[in-house]
Amino acid sequence: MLMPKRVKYRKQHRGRMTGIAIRGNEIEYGDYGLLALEPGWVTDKQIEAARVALTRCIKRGGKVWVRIFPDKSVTAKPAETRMGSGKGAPDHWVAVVKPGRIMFELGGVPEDVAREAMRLAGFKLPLKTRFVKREGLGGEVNET
Amino acid sequence: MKRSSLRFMPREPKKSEVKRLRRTGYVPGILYGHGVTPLALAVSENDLSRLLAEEGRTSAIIDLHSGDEEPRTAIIKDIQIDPVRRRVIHVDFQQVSMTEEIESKVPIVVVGEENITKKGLLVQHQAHELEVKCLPEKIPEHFTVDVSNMGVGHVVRAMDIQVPEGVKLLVDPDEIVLSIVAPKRVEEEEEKVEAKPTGAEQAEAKKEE
Repeated sequence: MLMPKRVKYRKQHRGRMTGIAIRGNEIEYGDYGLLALEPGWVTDKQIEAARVALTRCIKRGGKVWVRIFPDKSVTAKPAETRMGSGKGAPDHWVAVVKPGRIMFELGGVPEDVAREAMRLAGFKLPLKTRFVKREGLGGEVNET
Repeated sequence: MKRSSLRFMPREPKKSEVKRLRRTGYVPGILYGHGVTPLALAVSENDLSRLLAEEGRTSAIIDLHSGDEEPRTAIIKDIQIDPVRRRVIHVDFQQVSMTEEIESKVPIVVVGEENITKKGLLVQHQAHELEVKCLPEKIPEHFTVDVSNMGVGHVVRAMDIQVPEGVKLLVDPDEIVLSIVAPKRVEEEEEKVEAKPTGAEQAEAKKEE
């Protein structure tokens, strides 16, 4: 599972997820991308599940790029514990995703395969997503 | 070099005006250039989308018309796209003189990619466009790279690309444009992932060390 090698502080505040993705909102490496349409936390397990879905769907050809990284720790208290006594222990890692973020990219596969792979990967994520393709591949700029 | 034309109307550089234009199917933009006073303008979203679909984002020379004025020759310098709706929200035009060299980006088109995919290989792009400097009329529509006879490990550098006379590449000649790679096998990759230890506890354990 993806996680940081070393962190300065083990526990973090939850933070806010207002606004849209200012960076990471363009297809940089591949030809097709999976765009986030709403904000959310994507866990390390969900990223891995989506990546596996993509690689299985495209079989041998093509290349997958994961454009998000779970660098925020989330804490949890054990089950059946009374409230209080401080913050829980680190439990898992999440990536903070804002609308407009390209989360995964695919290259070297035909468009129909890429669409199907992204559709399957989208089911593994807790956000609404949309398939997008790089400009210059034909079709309109506003391709959905 | 193809020439296209586009109608524009001058606009007030005000936020409320820009919002109103976007609501009514126009894209706000700006026209600037060497020795030209910047002009805030708006173009029809439909016309612009059609132009972008036909010509692509780069390298087309556009005659900008407004009323009875002399058309202004320009290129698209920059486009801002709404990250969520993927609509064009602003466009920058650079007015050009046909006798003055300008910097522009030219897309790279790969030919013979089917042969590579038949062999089970993959074309990996390091760059999708290259920056050039030349007279506006000499801007190539695209650079063509033929990969049909290439095998795994082949690398195409900027210096390998045939550039027409009068066009100067502004990138490092050693810069890799694309390479032919073999895709990773799915089973190998999954074994590798399974071998890795999982969970946030591991980071915690490392921290405690």
